[in-house]
Amino acid sequence: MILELITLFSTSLTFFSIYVILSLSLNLEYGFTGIPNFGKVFFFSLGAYVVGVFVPRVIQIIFNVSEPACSALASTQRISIAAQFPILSMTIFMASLVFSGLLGAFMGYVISYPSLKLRGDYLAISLLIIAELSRVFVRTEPSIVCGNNGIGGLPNPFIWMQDPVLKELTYSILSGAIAGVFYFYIHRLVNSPYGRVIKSVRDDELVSQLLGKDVKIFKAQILSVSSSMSAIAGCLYAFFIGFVYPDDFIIVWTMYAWLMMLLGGVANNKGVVLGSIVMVVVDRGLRRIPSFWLSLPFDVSYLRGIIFTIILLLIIMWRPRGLLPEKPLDTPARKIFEAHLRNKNSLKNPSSQ
Amino acid sequence: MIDLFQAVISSIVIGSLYALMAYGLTLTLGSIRIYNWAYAEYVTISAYVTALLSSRYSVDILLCFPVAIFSAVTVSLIADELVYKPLTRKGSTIIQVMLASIATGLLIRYLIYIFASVNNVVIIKAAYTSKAVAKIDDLIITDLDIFIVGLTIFMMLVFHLIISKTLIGKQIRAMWDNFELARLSGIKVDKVRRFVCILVGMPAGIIGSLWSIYSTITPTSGWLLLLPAFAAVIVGGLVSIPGAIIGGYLLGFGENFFMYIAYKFAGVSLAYKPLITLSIMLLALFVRADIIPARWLLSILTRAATHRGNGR
Amino acid sequence: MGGQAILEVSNLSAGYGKSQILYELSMSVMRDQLTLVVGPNGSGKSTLAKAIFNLASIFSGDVFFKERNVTKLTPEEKIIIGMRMVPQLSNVFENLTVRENLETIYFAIKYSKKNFEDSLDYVFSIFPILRDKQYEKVRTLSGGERQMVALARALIAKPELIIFDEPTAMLSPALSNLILNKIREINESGVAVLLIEQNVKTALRISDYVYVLVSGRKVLEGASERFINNFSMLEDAFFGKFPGSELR
Repeated sequence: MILELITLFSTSLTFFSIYVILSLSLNLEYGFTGIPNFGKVFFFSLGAYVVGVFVPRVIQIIFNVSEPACSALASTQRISIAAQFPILSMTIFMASLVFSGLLGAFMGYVISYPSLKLRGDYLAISLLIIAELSRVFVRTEPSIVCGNNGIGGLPNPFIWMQDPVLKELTYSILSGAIAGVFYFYIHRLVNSPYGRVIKSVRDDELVSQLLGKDVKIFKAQILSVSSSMSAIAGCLYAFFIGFVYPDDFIIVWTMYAWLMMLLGGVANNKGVVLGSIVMVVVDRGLRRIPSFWLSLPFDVSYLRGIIFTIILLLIIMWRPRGLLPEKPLDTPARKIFEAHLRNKNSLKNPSSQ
Repeated sequence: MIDLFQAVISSIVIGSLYALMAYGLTLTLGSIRIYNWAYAEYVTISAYVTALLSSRYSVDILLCFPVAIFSAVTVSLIADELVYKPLTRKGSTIIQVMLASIATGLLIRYLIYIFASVNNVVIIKAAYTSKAVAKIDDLIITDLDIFIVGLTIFMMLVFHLIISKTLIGKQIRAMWDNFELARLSGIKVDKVRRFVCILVGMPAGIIGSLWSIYSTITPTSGWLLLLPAFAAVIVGGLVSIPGAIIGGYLLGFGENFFMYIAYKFAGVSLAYKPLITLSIMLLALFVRADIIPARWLLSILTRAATHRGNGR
Repeated sequence: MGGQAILEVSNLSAGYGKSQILYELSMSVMRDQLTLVVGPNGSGKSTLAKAIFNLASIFSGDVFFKERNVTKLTPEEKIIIGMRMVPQLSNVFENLTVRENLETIYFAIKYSKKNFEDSLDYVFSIFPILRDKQYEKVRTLSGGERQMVALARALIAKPELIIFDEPTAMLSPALSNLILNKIREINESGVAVLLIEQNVKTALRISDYVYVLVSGRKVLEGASERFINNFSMLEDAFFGKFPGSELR
């Protein structure tokens, strides 16, 4: 029973970390900078594909595994190899994180150039279509991740641990730590003059340019960072699940990210974290409950989908900027301003001292 | 050589479907200012209606069409009343509406999934086998090919007549051109809106029914047709109906004819088909955004298309 | 000078959203008269036009047309009873032909071929240039011709009152004079006119009665002849010097 709870906790924590990273990145792009990313799952899948493409091949080359990479036999062999060589599996994991991040950053940079010239809705549609069509491509082209079947045998970095529960727990803590690092990074990034600039880009790009801000560079930077984050989230996801298949990366991931951002509040990072918590609780909860006391004649994931889309529609109709409001930026200038205000107020009421 | 012509035939057939779909999408976009991603599901529903009626209940295939069209129009009106109209009234941004339309589409799709899996019809095809109408060596043109091309072109012509000649068509064009002035001029905005929903629901019904005969359907069939259709809308610059039609045929040819050539002469795997769609769309996008310089022949062609299109 | 008022604005307070622009404004347009409303930028002139047509938020007050309370009527209903408005910017359908632009009144009124043909004759008698260009798309026309189409749209189907919101904005002096003279012509053919203008001097000469608006309030009014010879009184009003201003 305890073991079950711990597993539930570590699964939830891992998913929470992945969701938080995704939604924080979307919040950075859209909430703070005003770039509508409807192709988030594309950048997410990049990280996962890095793992799916390179990790099996690297292992098989190093250890001379003759089985074709896509076969189930090869998967099992890769796992057992990784279990025997902890340093290798952890190195592969870290290398994957780095490469995912770099690939994501590169893609984000590439996307930033057209995003300048294209109106928001053009960009949104294009990213969506890119995400969908690339998924269709990857699922049909067998040389990437074995087509529709996907590829398995992606070893968890802690697979060498004897206790699988401990393995999951350690991984979830690592994921949580990575998410925490990203949260603090973004927090510092936006609560600064830099954050002020990107908000000004969101609110009125023309004025921002007239004030001398090179919008190009800011958008490129933001998109690189956020796409890098998305790819790293994808990398974490791939190692957690242990296999990568293209049909996993459907538009639903993008919609989840938007839902979490809206649940929490646009441009409100704490809110987005809250949104992710709600999402994980509801999502994981909905996976368990129905099988207990609802015997449905159909797959429960459809019901889950219906609930989520309805929640999303309700939020768009009634709270389109999210549940929590946008907060003013906590920049050094603001701290001085608020201290000044406080001094002024206390001067007015000497009796309160 | 014969296969090349066969590829041309399928390019024209598929292109016609994309063109008609892009027509409906562009019309919705221009007059009501809605990106209707749920349009895919109107098509899917119609496809299922026709497929079910003809295969399970042995209804004559031609009788299925009106029922499918009715279903598509009904869903179109309901979605507009429940989701799009309230959002427009609230003054939502175009991104918010897009988000809502994707969500609506997904919602309908999940409902279709539930219905299909409960009734065991997740994969289905209409009960009609097309017959060859013309046969030149191995080149086959079927009655279905002719029907698809004929019906879609007929629909586009009917639309054109309605929009250019009738009073309500003028109202649609006025709303498209200058929404504020249209309101000031006393247009009954809601009435025109409903008319547009009915008008674009019809081709969805037709496309869905035709598709259920042409190929097997799954709950994602509509979505897989919508993606190239939206790419065609982008080729048309989002505002041009002739541009969208050309885009539709361009994509039809790209996915079939050019894919075939690449396959036959360069050994490119058929899996690369979506990349062709993507390339065409990105090319059109970059030309419009001036990322590719206008000196190129392609951009001149695109601009010629939109110049005619701006006459709407 | 005509007898009763065809349009009466009574204590109208209006604005956009929550911000108030007009404060308890009262004014009227007599039948057959050309009434002028002037004022500095931001004084609420455009808001007045929009509020009369219920396109702004009306906080309190009423609008009467032919003694009927029309404050809450939709634009469509107002057009049906004979009111028209020519907005300042964006007042034509660029991608429709001249003829189609003129037809747009029939979005509100029931179409009748005879009605339309008669209206066209009237329109082309005032704006002869448009007759030759009636099948061209408006976006191919020059600025002055476009403005003529904007004005002509209001002439279809026997209007009784037309509100012109700064019709000479962005036109050259020569064209402005032409347009204002045409508006006088329209008024002389029996249509009451409410003219909102920046071009005070010229507009004064073609109008019968003038109101001065400053910061959403009426500060001065009177027959136009009075001010033609006493222009400085108008100018002063613009800058805050008007009877009663000493009290502020």
